[in-house]
Amino acid sequence: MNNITKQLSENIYTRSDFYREAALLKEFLEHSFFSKSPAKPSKRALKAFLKAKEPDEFENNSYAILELGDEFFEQFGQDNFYDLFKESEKEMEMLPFVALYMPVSFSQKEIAMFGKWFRENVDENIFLDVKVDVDIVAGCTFVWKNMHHDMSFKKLLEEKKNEVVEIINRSVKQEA
Amino acid sequence: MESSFVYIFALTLIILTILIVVFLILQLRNSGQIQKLAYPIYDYTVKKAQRKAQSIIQDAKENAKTMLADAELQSIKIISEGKIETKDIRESYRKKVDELAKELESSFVQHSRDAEKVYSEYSELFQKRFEERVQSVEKNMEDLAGQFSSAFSEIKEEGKNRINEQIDNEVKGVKDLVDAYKKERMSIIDEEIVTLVEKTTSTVLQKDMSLKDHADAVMRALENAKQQNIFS
Repeated sequence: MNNITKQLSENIYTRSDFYREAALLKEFLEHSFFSKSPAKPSKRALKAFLKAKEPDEFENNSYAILELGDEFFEQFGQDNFYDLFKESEKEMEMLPFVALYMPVSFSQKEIAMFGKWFRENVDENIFLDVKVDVDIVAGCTFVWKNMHHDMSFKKLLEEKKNEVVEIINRSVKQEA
Repeated sequence: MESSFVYIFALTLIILTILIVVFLILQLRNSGQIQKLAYPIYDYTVKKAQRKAQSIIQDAKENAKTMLADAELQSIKIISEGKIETKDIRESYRKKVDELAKELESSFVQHSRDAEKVYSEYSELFQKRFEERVQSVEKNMEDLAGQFSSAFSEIKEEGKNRINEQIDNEVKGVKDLVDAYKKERMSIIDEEIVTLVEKTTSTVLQKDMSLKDHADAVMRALENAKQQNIFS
Protein backbone atom coordinates (compact mmCIF):
# COMPACT_ATOMS: atom_id res chain seq x y z
CA MET A 1 0.00 0.00 0.00
CA ASN A 2 1.22 3.50 -0.81
CA ASN A 3 2.54 5.38 2.22
CA ILE A 4 0.08 8.25 1.78
CA THR A 5 -2.85 5.85 1.63
CA LYS A 6 -1.59 3.89 4.58
CA GLN A 7 -0.95 6.96 6.76
CA LEU A 8 -4.23 8.69 5.88
CA SER A 9 -6.33 5.53 6.36
CA GLU A 10 -5.18 5.29 9.99
CA ASN A 11 -7.41 8.25 10.91
CA ILE A 12 -9.76 8.49 7.92
CA TYR A 13 -12.62 6.02 7.42
CA THR A 14 -14.69 7.44 4.57
CA ARG A 15 -13.70 7.87 0.95
CA SER A 16 -15.10 11.41 0.83
CA ASP A 17 -12.95 12.41 3.82
CA PHE A 18 -9.96 10.72 2.23
CA TYR A 19 -10.31 12.64 -1.05
CA ARG A 20 -11.09 15.90 0.75
CA GLU A 21 -8.10 15.71 3.11
CA ALA A 22 -5.79 14.35 0.39
CA ALA A 23 -6.77 17.38 -1.74
CA LEU A 24 -6.02 19.75 1.17
CA LEU A 25 -2.70 18.03 1.74
CA LYS A 26 -1.77 18.27 -1.94
CA GLU A 27 -2.75 21.94 -1.94
CA PHE A 28 -0.62 22.48 1.13
CA LEU A 29 2.38 20.82 -0.56
CA GLU A 30 1.89 22.93 -3.69
CA HIS A 31 1.79 25.96 -1.47
CA SER A 32 4.92 24.80 0.32
CA PHE A 33 6.91 24.06 -2.84
CA PHE A 34 5.65 26.57 -5.38
CA SER A 35 4.64 29.72 -3.45
CA LYS A 36 6.65 32.97 -3.58
CA SER A 37 8.27 31.96 -0.31
CA PRO A 38 8.78 28.15 -0.44
CA ALA A 39 9.05 26.39 2.90
CA LYS A 40 9.65 22.87 4.11
CA PRO A 41 6.30 21.12 4.72
CA SER A 42 5.59 20.29 8.36
CA LYS A 43 2.71 19.61 10.74
CA ARG A 44 2.91 23.15 12.10
CA ALA A 45 2.97 24.70 8.61
CA LEU A 46 -0.04 22.56 7.65
CA LYS A 47 -2.01 23.80 10.66
CA ALA A 48 -1.19 27.40 9.75
CA PHE A 49 -2.14 26.77 6.14
CA LEU A 50 -5.52 25.28 7.09
CA LYS A 51 -6.27 28.06 9.55
CA ALA A 52 -5.54 30.63 6.87
CA LYS A 53 -7.52 28.77 4.22
CA GLU A 54 -10.66 28.02 6.23
CA PRO A 55 -10.70 30.53 9.10
CA ASP A 56 -14.44 30.10 9.87
CA GLU A 57 -14.57 26.27 9.76
CA PHE A 58 -11.14 25.56 11.22
CA GLU A 59 -12.16 25.45 14.85
CA ASN A 60 -15.21 23.30 14.21
CA ASN A 61 -13.69 20.92 11.70
CA SER A 62 -11.56 18.02 12.69
CA TYR A 63 -8.74 17.37 10.28
CA ALA A 64 -7.27 13.88 10.23
CA ILE A 65 -4.17 15.15 8.47
CA LEU A 66 -3.31 17.20 11.54
CA GLU A 67 -2.82 13.89 13.39
CA LEU A 68 0.10 13.07 11.08
CA GLY A 69 3.63 13.39 12.44
CA ASP A 70 6.40 15.50 10.95
CA GLU A 71 8.15 12.43 9.53
CA PHE A 72 5.18 12.00 7.20
CA PHE A 73 6.07 15.21 5.34
CA GLU A 74 9.69 14.24 4.81
CA GLN A 75 8.83 11.86 1.96
CA PHE A 76 7.59 14.71 -0.26
CA GLY A 77 9.62 16.81 -2.63
CA GLN A 78 8.45 19.12 -5.37
CA ASP A 79 9.30 16.48 -7.98
CA ASN A 80 7.53 13.45 -6.50
CA PHE A 81 4.46 14.49 -4.56
CA TYR A 82 2.14 14.61 -7.61
CA ASP A 83 3.08 11.06 -8.57
CA LEU A 84 2.69 9.87 -4.99
CA PHE A 85 -0.82 11.34 -4.73
CA LYS A 86 -1.76 9.98 -8.15
CA GLU A 87 -0.66 6.52 -7.06
CA SER A 88 -2.57 6.85 -3.80
CA GLU A 89 -5.81 7.83 -5.58
CA LYS A 90 -5.48 4.82 -7.86
CA GLU A 91 -5.00 2.58 -4.85
CA MET A 92 -8.01 4.16 -3.19
CA GLU A 93 -10.17 3.11 -6.12
CA MET A 94 -9.06 -0.51 -5.66
CA LEU A 95 -9.70 -0.70 -1.91
CA PRO A 96 -12.92 -2.33 -0.61
CA PHE A 97 -15.72 -0.03 0.49
CA VAL A 98 -19.22 -0.27 1.88
CA ALA A 99 -22.05 2.20 1.22
CA LEU A 100 -23.63 2.82 4.62
CA TYR A 101 -27.07 4.48 4.85
CA MET A 102 -28.08 5.89 8.25
CA PRO A 103 -31.05 7.97 9.50
CA VAL A 104 -29.03 10.90 10.84
CA SER A 105 -25.82 12.69 10.08
CA PHE A 106 -23.17 11.49 12.50
CA SER A 107 -20.06 13.34 13.70
CA GLN A 108 -16.52 12.23 12.86
CA LYS A 109 -16.41 10.47 16.21
CA GLU A 110 -19.30 8.11 15.40
CA ILE A 111 -18.10 7.68 11.81
CA ALA A 112 -14.74 6.65 13.18
CA MET A 113 -16.46 4.16 15.47
CA PHE A 114 -18.31 2.59 12.54
CA GLY A 115 -15.15 2.62 10.41
CA LYS A 116 -13.16 0.86 13.07
CA TRP A 117 -15.88 -1.72 13.49
CA PHE A 118 -15.79 -2.47 9.74
CA ARG A 119 -11.99 -2.69 9.70
CA GLU A 120 -12.01 -5.05 12.69
CA ASN A 121 -14.93 -7.22 11.55
CA VAL A 122 -14.99 -7.04 7.76
CA ASP A 123 -11.72 -5.86 6.09
CA GLU A 124 -8.74 -3.99 7.54
CA ASN A 125 -8.47 -1.74 4.46
CA ILE A 126 -12.17 -0.97 4.04
CA PHE A 127 -13.55 2.56 3.56
CA LEU A 128 -17.09 3.76 4.03
CA ASP A 129 -19.43 5.76 1.80
CA VAL A 130 -21.71 7.36 4.39
CA LYS A 131 -25.16 8.58 3.27
CA VAL A 132 -28.20 9.87 5.17
CA ASP A 133 -31.70 8.37 4.65
CA VAL A 134 -34.32 9.58 7.13
CA ASP A 135 -36.80 6.87 6.06
CA ILE A 136 -34.63 4.29 7.77
CA VAL A 137 -35.93 5.68 11.12
CA ALA A 138 -33.28 3.79 13.11
CA GLY A 139 -30.51 1.28 12.44
CA CYS A 140 -28.90 1.25 9.01
CA THR A 141 -28.88 -0.25 5.55
CA PHE A 142 -25.78 -0.92 3.48
CA VAL A 143 -24.58 -2.14 0.10
CA TRP A 144 -21.84 -4.72 0.36
CA LYS A 145 -20.41 -6.40 -2.74
CA ASN A 146 -23.29 -5.02 -4.84
CA MET A 147 -25.93 -6.49 -2.50
CA HIS A 148 -28.30 -4.27 -0.51
CA HIS A 149 -28.92 -5.31 3.09
CA ASP A 150 -31.64 -3.69 5.17
CA MET A 151 -31.00 -3.74 8.93
CA SER A 152 -33.26 -0.78 9.66
CA PHE A 153 -36.11 -0.34 12.10
CA LYS A 154 -38.44 0.04 9.11
CA LYS A 155 -37.49 -3.42 7.91
CA LEU A 156 -37.88 -4.81 11.43
CA LEU A 157 -41.36 -3.26 11.63
CA GLU A 158 -42.30 -4.86 8.29
CA GLU A 159 -41.10 -8.24 9.53
CA LYS A 160 -43.02 -7.87 12.78
CA LYS A 161 -46.06 -6.33 11.07
CA ASN A 162 -48.46 -9.13 12.02
CA GLU A 163 -47.35 -9.09 15.63
CA VAL A 164 -47.75 -5.32 15.79
CA VAL A 165 -51.22 -5.49 14.23
CA GLU A 166 -52.16 -8.31 16.60
CA ILE A 167 -51.01 -6.34 19.61
CA ILE A 168 -52.96 -3.28 18.47
CA ASN A 169 -56.08 -5.33 17.71
CA ARG A 170 -55.82 -6.97 21.12
CA SER A 171 -55.56 -3.57 22.77
CA VAL A 172 -58.54 -2.27 20.78
CA LYS A 173 -60.65 -5.31 21.80
CA GLN A 174 -59.70 -4.92 25.43
CA GLU A 175 -60.71 -1.29 25.35
CA ALA A 176 -63.99 -2.17 23.65
CA MET B 1 -129.45 -70.34 -91.20
CA GLU B 2 -130.80 -70.13 -94.73
CA SER B 3 -129.38 -66.71 -95.21
CA SER B 4 -125.88 -67.93 -94.30
CA PHE B 5 -126.11 -70.64 -96.90
CA VAL B 6 -127.06 -68.10 -99.57
CA TYR B 7 -124.09 -65.92 -98.68
CA ILE B 8 -121.67 -68.85 -98.81
CA PHE B 9 -122.99 -69.92 -102.17
CA ALA B 10 -122.73 -66.44 -103.66
CA LEU B 11 -119.20 -66.12 -102.39
CA THR B 12 -118.23 -69.48 -103.88
CA LEU B 13 -119.67 -68.40 -107.18
CA ILE B 14 -117.72 -65.17 -107.24
CA ILE B 15 -114.48 -66.95 -106.37
CA LEU B 16 -115.11 -69.48 -109.09
CA THR B 17 -115.73 -66.73 -111.61
CA ILE B 18 -112.52 -64.96 -110.61
CA LEU B 19 -110.57 -68.22 -110.93
CA ILE B 20 -111.99 -68.77 -114.37
CA VAL B 21 -111.09 -65.27 -115.44
CA VAL B 22 -107.58 -65.68 -114.11
CA PHE B 23 -107.30 -69.01 -115.81
CA LEU B 24 -108.43 -67.47 -119.06
CA ILE B 25 -105.93 -64.63 -118.82
CA LEU B 26 -103.13 -67.04 -118.16
CA GLN B 27 -104.21 -69.15 -121.01
CA LEU B 28 -104.34 -66.14 -123.24
CA ARG B 29 -100.87 -65.03 -122.25
CA ASN B 30 -99.41 -68.51 -122.71
CA SER B 31 -101.01 -68.95 -125.97
CA GLY B 32 -99.82 -65.58 -127.20
CA GLN B 33 -96.74 -67.08 -128.84
CA ILE B 34 -98.55 -69.70 -130.70
CA GLN B 35 -101.32 -67.36 -131.57
CA LYS B 36 -100.11 -66.88 -135.00
CA LEU B 37 -99.81 -70.57 -135.62
CA ALA B 38 -102.98 -71.70 -133.97
CA TYR B 39 -105.25 -68.74 -134.19
CA PRO B 40 -108.17 -70.48 -135.80
CA ILE B 41 -108.15 -73.22 -133.21
CA TYR B 42 -107.69 -70.68 -130.58
CA ASP B 43 -110.48 -68.56 -131.79
CA TYR B 44 -112.78 -71.52 -131.93
CA THR B 45 -111.74 -72.76 -128.56
CA VAL B 46 -112.12 -69.34 -127.06
CA LYS B 47 -115.46 -68.79 -128.42
CA LYS B 48 -116.50 -72.22 -127.30
CA ALA B 49 -115.16 -71.52 -123.89
CA GLN B 50 -116.88 -68.21 -123.84
CA ARG B 51 -120.11 -69.83 -124.65
CA LYS B 52 -119.52 -72.42 -122.04
CA ALA B 53 -118.61 -69.84 -119.57
CA GLN B 54 -121.62 -67.79 -120.41
CA SER B 55 -123.69 -70.88 -120.11
CA ILE B 56 -122.13 -71.64 -116.73
CA ILE B 57 -122.54 -68.10 -115.63
CA GLN B 58 -126.11 -68.09 -116.76
CA ASP B 59 -126.74 -71.31 -114.90
CA ALA B 60 -125.03 -69.90 -111.90
CA LYS B 61 -127.09 -66.77 -112.08
CA GLU B 62 -130.24 -68.73 -112.26
CA ASN B 63 -129.18 -70.98 -109.50
CA ALA B 64 -128.25 -67.94 -107.52
CA LYS B 65 -131.59 -66.33 -108.11
CA THR B 66 -133.32 -69.53 -107.08
CA MET B 67 -131.16 -69.77 -104.03
CA LEU B 68 -131.78 -66.14 -103.19
CA ALA B 69 -135.48 -66.64 -103.46
CA ASP B 70 -135.28 -69.70 -101.26
CA ALA B 71 -133.14 -67.88 -98.85
CA GLU B 72 -135.53 -64.98 -98.69
CA LEU B 73 -138.38 -67.29 -98.09
CA GLN B 74 -136.43 -69.13 -95.50
CA SER B 75 -135.53 -65.89 -93.78
CA ILE B 76 -139.10 -64.72 -93.75
CA LYS B 77 -140.06 -68.01 -92.25
CA ILE B 78 -137.32 -67.78 -89.70
CA ILE B 79 -138.27 -64.25 -88.81
CA SER B 80 -141.90 -65.18 -88.31
CA GLU B 81 -140.83 -68.15 -86.21
CA GLY B 82 -138.51 -65.84 -84.34
CA LYS B 83 -141.34 -63.47 -83.59
CA ILE B 84 -143.33 -66.31 -82.09
CA GLU B 85 -140.32 -67.45 -80.14
CA THR B 86 -139.62 -63.89 -79.00
CA LYS B 87 -143.11 -63.60 -77.63
CA ASP B 88 -142.65 -66.81 -75.70
CA ILE B 89 -139.27 -65.76 -74.51
CA ARG B 90 -140.64 -62.38 -73.39
CA GLU B 91 -143.34 -64.13 -71.43
CA SER B 92 -140.82 -66.43 -69.92
CA TYR B 93 -138.52 -63.55 -69.25
CA ARG B 94 -141.22 -61.55 -67.56
CA LYS B 95 -142.11 -64.55 -65.49
CA LYS B 96 -138.46 -65.04 -64.58
CA VAL B 97 -138.10 -61.38 -63.83
CA ASP B 98 -141.11 -61.49 -61.55
CA GLU B 99 -139.73 -64.54 -59.81
CA LEU B 100 -136.38 -62.90 -59.54
CA ALA B 101 -137.96 -59.73 -58.22
CA LYS B 102 -139.80 -61.70 -55.62
CA GLU B 103 -136.62 -63.53 -54.68
CA LEU B 104 -134.79 -60.27 -54.66
CA GLU B 105 -137.40 -58.63 -52.50
CA SER B 106 -137.41 -61.63 -50.19
CA SER B 107 -133.62 -61.59 -50.12
CA PHE B 108 -133.61 -57.85 -49.60
CA VAL B 109 -136.05 -58.18 -46.74
CA GLN B 110 -133.94 -60.95 -45.27
CA HIS B 111 -130.78 -58.95 -45.74
CA SER B 112 -132.46 -55.93 -44.26
CA ARG B 113 -133.43 -57.97 -41.28
CA ASP B 114 -129.94 -59.40 -41.05
CA ALA B 115 -128.48 -55.96 -41.48
CA GLU B 116 -130.77 -54.56 -38.85
CA LYS B 117 -129.85 -57.39 -36.56
CA VAL B 118 -126.14 -56.89 -37.25
CA TYR B 119 -126.55 -53.16 -36.84
CA SER B 120 -128.37 -53.71 -33.57
CA GLU B 121 -125.70 -56.12 -32.37
CA TYR B 122 -122.97 -53.82 -33.59
CA SER B 123 -124.69 -50.86 -31.98
CA GLU B 124 -124.90 -52.69 -28.70
CA LEU B 125 -121.30 -53.80 -29.04
CA PHE B 126 -120.27 -50.29 -29.98
CA GLN B 127 -122.23 -48.89 -27.04
CA LYS B 128 -120.59 -51.43 -24.76
CA ARG B 129 -117.13 -50.77 -26.17
CA PHE B 130 -117.73 -47.05 -26.06
CA GLU B 131 -118.72 -47.22 -22.40
CA GLU B 132 -115.73 -49.43 -21.67
CA ARG B 133 -113.53 -47.00 -23.56
CA VAL B 134 -115.04 -44.03 -21.71
CA GLN B 135 -114.48 -45.81 -18.43
CA SER B 136 -110.93 -46.63 -19.48
CA VAL B 137 -110.32 -43.04 -20.52
CA GLU B 138 -111.82 -41.80 -17.28
CA LYS B 139 -109.60 -44.19 -15.38
CA ASN B 140 -106.58 -43.07 -17.42
CA MET B 141 -107.53 -39.48 -16.81
CA GLU B 142 -107.80 -40.15 -13.10
CA ASP B 143 -104.44 -41.96 -13.18
CA LEU B 144 -102.92 -39.12 -15.19
CA ALA B 145 -104.41 -36.59 -12.82
CA GLY B 146 -102.93 -38.57 -9.93
CA GLN B 147 -99.57 -38.80 -11.68
CA PHE B 148 -99.74 -35.13 -12.62
CA SER B 149 -100.58 -34.22 -9.07
CA SER B 150 -97.71 -36.36 -7.81
CA ALA B 151 -95.33 -34.96 -10.44
CA PHE B 152 -96.51 -31.45 -9.68
CA SER B 153 -95.85 -32.03 -6.01
CA GLU B 154 -92.40 -33.38 -6.84
CA ILE B 155 -91.68 -30.44 -9.16
CA LYS B 156 -92.98 -28.06 -6.53
CA GLU B 157 -90.80 -29.69 -3.90
CA GLU B 158 -87.83 -29.78 -6.25
CA GLY B 159 -88.39 -26.13 -7.21
CA LYS B 160 -88.64 -25.23 -3.57
CA ASN B 161 -85.42 -27.07 -2.82
CA ARG B 162 -83.73 -25.51 -5.82
CA ILE B 163 -84.86 -22.02 -4.80
CA ASN B 164 -83.68 -22.69 -1.25
CA GLU B 165 -80.38 -23.99 -2.60
CA GLN B 166 -80.07 -20.95 -4.88
CA ILE B 167 -80.84 -18.62 -2.00
CA ASP B 168 -78.29 -20.47 0.15
CA ASN B 169 -75.73 -20.15 -2.66
CA GLU B 170 -76.56 -16.47 -3.09
CA VAL B 171 -76.28 -15.92 0.65
CA LYS B 172 -73.03 -17.88 0.72
CA GLY B 173 -71.76 -15.89 -2.29
CA VAL B 174 -72.68 -12.61 -0.61
CA LYS B 175 -71.17 -13.83 2.64
CA ASP B 176 -67.98 -14.86 0.82
CA LEU B 177 -67.97 -11.50 -0.92
CA VAL B 178 -68.46 -9.70 2.39
CA ASP B 179 -65.76 -11.87 3.99
CA ALA B 180 -63.38 -11.18 1.10
CA TYR B 181 -64.20 -7.48 1.30
CA LYS B 182 -63.78 -7.57 5.05
CA LYS B 183 -60.48 -9.41 4.70
CA GLU B 184 -59.32 -6.95 2.07
CA ARG B 185 -60.42 -4.01 4.19
CA MET B 186 -58.78 -5.53 7.26
CA SER B 187 -55.61 -6.06 5.24
CA ILE B 188 -55.74 -2.39 4.15
CA ILE B 189 -56.47 -1.31 7.73
CA ASP B 190 -53.56 -3.48 8.95
CA GLU B 191 -51.32 -1.83 6.37
CA GLU B 192 -52.59 1.55 7.47
CA ILE B 193 -51.96 0.60 11.12
CA VAL B 194 -48.42 -0.44 10.25
CA THR B 195 -47.89 2.76 8.26
CA LEU B 196 -49.34 4.75 11.15
CA VAL B 197 -47.14 2.92 13.63
CA GLU B 198 -44.17 3.43 11.36
CA LYS B 199 -44.84 7.14 10.94
CA THR B 200 -45.56 7.60 14.63
CA THR B 201 -42.50 5.62 15.63
CA SER B 202 -40.39 7.45 13.10
CA THR B 203 -41.58 10.80 14.39
CA VAL B 204 -41.13 9.78 18.00
CA LEU B 205 -37.75 8.14 17.42
CA GLN B 206 -36.39 10.99 15.33
CA LYS B 207 -37.55 13.40 17.99
CA ASP B 208 -36.58 11.45 21.06
CA MET B 209 -33.54 9.40 19.99
CA SER B 210 -30.21 11.03 20.70
CA LEU B 211 -27.23 10.76 18.39
CA LYS B 212 -25.78 8.21 20.74
CA ASP B 213 -29.01 6.17 20.62
CA HIS B 214 -28.85 6.24 16.83
CA ALA B 215 -25.20 5.24 16.89
CA ASP B 216 -26.00 2.37 19.24
CA ALA B 217 -28.84 1.30 16.95
CA VAL B 218 -26.43 1.32 13.97
CA MET B 219 -23.92 -0.75 15.90
CA ARG B 220 -26.62 -3.24 16.89
CA ALA B 221 -27.72 -3.45 13.27
CA LEU B 222 -24.14 -4.13 12.15
CA GLU B 223 -23.71 -6.79 14.82
CA ASN B 224 -26.93 -8.43 13.63
CA ALA B 225 -25.65 -8.37 10.07
CA LYS B 226 -22.40 -9.96 11.22
CA GLN B 227 -24.34 -12.69 13.08
CA GLN B 228 -26.28 -13.37 9.88
CA ASN B 229 -22.91 -13.88 8.11
CA ILE B 230 -23.69 -11.12 5.63
CA PHE B 231 -20.04 -10.00 5.47
CA SER B 232 -18.50 -13.44 5.10
